[in-house]
Amino acid sequence: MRKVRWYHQVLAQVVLVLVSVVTLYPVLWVVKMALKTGQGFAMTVNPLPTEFSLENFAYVIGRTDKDGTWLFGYQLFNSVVISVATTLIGVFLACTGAYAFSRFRFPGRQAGLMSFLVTQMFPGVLMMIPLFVILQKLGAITGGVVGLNSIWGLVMVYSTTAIPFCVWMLKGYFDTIPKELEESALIDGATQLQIFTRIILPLARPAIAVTALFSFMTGWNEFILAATFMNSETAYTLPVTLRSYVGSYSTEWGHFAAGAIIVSVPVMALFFALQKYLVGGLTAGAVKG
Amino acid sequence: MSKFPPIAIPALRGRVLAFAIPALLLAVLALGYAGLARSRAAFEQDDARAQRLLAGLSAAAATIGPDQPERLQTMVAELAAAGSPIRWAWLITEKQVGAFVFQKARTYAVHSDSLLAGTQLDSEQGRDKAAYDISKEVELRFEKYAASRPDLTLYLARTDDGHAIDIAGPVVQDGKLVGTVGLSLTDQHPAIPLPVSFVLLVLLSSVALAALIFRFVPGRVASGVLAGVLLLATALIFQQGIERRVVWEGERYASARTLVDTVALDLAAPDPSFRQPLAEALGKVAGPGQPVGAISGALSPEGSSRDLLAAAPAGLPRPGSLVQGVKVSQGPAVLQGTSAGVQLGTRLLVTGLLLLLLFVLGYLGYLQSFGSMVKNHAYAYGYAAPAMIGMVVFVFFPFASGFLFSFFERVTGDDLAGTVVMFGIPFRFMGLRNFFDILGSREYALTDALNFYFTLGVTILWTVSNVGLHVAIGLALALLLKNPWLKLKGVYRVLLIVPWAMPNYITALIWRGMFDVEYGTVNHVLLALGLGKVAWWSHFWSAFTANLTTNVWLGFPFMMVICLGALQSIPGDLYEAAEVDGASRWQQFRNITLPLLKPALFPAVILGAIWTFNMFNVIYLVSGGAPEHRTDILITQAYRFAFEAGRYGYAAAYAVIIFFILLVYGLGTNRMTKASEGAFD
Repeated sequence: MRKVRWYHQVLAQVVLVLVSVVTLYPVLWVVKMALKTGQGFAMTVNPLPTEFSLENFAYVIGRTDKDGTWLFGYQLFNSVVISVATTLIGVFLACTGAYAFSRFRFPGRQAGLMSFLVTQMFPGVLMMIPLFVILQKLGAITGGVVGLNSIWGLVMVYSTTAIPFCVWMLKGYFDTIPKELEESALIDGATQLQIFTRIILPLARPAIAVTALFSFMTGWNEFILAATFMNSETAYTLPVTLRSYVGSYSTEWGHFAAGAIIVSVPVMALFFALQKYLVGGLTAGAVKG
Repeated sequence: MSKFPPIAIPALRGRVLAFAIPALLLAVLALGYAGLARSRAAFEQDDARAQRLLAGLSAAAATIGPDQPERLQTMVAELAAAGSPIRWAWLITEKQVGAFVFQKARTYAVHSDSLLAGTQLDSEQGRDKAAYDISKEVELRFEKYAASRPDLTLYLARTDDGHAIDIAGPVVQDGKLVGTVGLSLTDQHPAIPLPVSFVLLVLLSSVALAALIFRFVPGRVASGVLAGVLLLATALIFQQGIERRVVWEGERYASARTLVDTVALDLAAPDPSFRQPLAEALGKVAGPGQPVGAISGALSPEGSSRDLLAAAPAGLPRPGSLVQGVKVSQGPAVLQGTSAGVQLGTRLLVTGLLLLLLFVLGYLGYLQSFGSMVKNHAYAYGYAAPAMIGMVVFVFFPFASGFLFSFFERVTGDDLAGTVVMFGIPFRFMGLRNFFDILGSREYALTDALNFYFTLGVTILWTVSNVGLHVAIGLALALLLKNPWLKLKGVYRVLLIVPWAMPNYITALIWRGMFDVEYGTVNHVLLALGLGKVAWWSHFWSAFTANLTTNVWLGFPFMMVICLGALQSIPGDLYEAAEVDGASRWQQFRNITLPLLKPALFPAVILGAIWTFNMFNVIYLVSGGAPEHRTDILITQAYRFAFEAGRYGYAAAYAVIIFFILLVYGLGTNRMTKASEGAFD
């Protein structure tokens, strides 16, 4: 190894500190505005909080509609249920699908893989009208359980639109698990289902963690479809309300920032908890293909 | 599939099965259609009843003088007493005091819970506010459609809970709008039984007949053709039979049940026992000696298919006759048709033809080989099925309809002739015109921000600059962070992926605020540095820079993580060997790092490019296309065409073009299958 001189260390530290400052600057702003009283965008250069008021948090959490319904409570509940359900269903669909495409050779396999890929190139926002009508019809068939203005309608849309990405990622990972493991299990008398649940799934934990993270983020962050398919404030998810604080003419920056922190903290915590899996989960398939 | 299996007409049992399966499917589908028709018929009956009630009420309301506001209450009370499902009714009309006309002065609501105590509407109250909103809507519609399409002046909607109908319409005196009147009534979805036994009987006899044909008709071709004809005939019998049964039940329901609801207003009441209350109610509605022609005249149902009029018993009020002092000036109204919802004809015919194809395939033995294929790969299909079913419903179907939309354009305005209704929206077939318009720059000049090529140029600039910066910054940081001697490495790695972890719409909105011209932090930093303020949204380059800054900030951590992962997988002894050979740092980077980074970086770049190409949130939330749509990229432009200009077809054509651009790009990169983690949005 070449000798590392002291100025290498200093130079690297200076660069990284600068980049980190730029990276954290907007984030610190959110914290500052959330802790500040009032709704304006603070007009200073200093991103560090100067006031420590919980007024904005109290407003955002305590928001009710005119009948006294606790909107934040409803929306938090919706967001949590939708995200968790999306994660569970999304991971289930992606794991079984990816397993089929990774391990079996069957007529229609190539076509199926290609179709997953190809649909991702079609701009998602324009699928809104057909999706709206599909949910309407499903609502009529299922008596409103899966339909417009229903949590399960959104869950189905979220978990299926995330499938292609998740299947491709998981398939890449499954491909790297040696086939010999399954063959020897088969000889030992394991059933197909046992191989899948006892061997493949535990080994693919990093990729599954990443799939779960992305499914969760889809459900937790999405606001365009949620605002379109749900028609009352008690049915909205948190991002829909958060988005509404930023209007085209006036913006409640304080409320927005407080809400942004409340919404971001869980998803960031999850992200950092699972970040050690990110590299392996994302790149395994791509590198070893 | 590589090659088609040979034709192998199966044995008798196989042939019967080949017939029985399509026949069974046909029966199931027929019942399904019958169910659909039934629910539509039920809805139509409810709607028709609501329209009748409203028409009567509105005609009657027009006769109320300014001095008798309690008349509306009386009318609704009478209706309620007759077992009507009205939950509440309201009337908003003008009142003349001296020379001044006070709009909305006379506003009454009559609730079923306080029927005789009419109350003044209060525009601040939830339920009353809804009435005011509906009233405004009716006024707008009257202005627009009174001359051309009087049927469109009615407002009719199901309430959110789905158990009630809100209906409202204009009150017209001498051709002039004097007010609006509305009702809210409970739905009474009638229970029309499904013709299950009929379908079963037909199915069984059809299969039995087919078995006989296969057994006794000589010649495999002849018996096959005969069975095919039989299958089509079965479809026809289903259609005829179900249409008759569902309609008949519907009509019987309509004549018996709605009578109770409409007794006060419906002149077509065929049961003599209702004549007395009818006449009394008419007297109340129209006032003694008044003609009730307006009531029945206002009913004029469009497309009523089966006249109950013909079945109405004699002795009903006829034009010119007097019923307890009320002169009937027109004939009895028609109970609106219930059969409009039951048009099984084409549906069942198409189904029949498709199932005939299935039968032919089965008869020739193809289905059996398909079945054995599925059986051979049962595990594979079993595992793939859940994901595929979800994809078909929520991804492939919307995808296909997007393609379909691109050949149509939404029709606005009243000229609905020759339109196709898709997803409840009227469309007109355009062929390839949307594509010619877009690709031929027919509508917007090349320098116009709404021009396709202009936007495409911006999109490519946007994608290239973003991906370039993402890779450059990500790679540089990764190279720094991989050095084993670096202190605080773990801290930086956590800090630097914060932008990836934060929801991107939040960061986009924060950056939007930071770039605010007056209050934004960026301008204040510039001022502090002694530079002037920048009017970020007034110029293309500044707005583009703002978008770019946001997206670079958002996107570099992904590349950094990918690069870090790839760098870690490069064996360290390669560098040691290079060092021994006296290679410089730059040579090591060029000849070891870059080539070994490629396999991981390449897919990430392709993926990143697709993401950036369709990065809706940043453009939409940060610059919003400012100035004058110039910083819009293709996807935000398409969104605007669809949801701001209402041009769904045009927008869908945009989407199809975006799709093909990305497809060609993906194929062009030649390693698509490996890179293809798909765009995740």
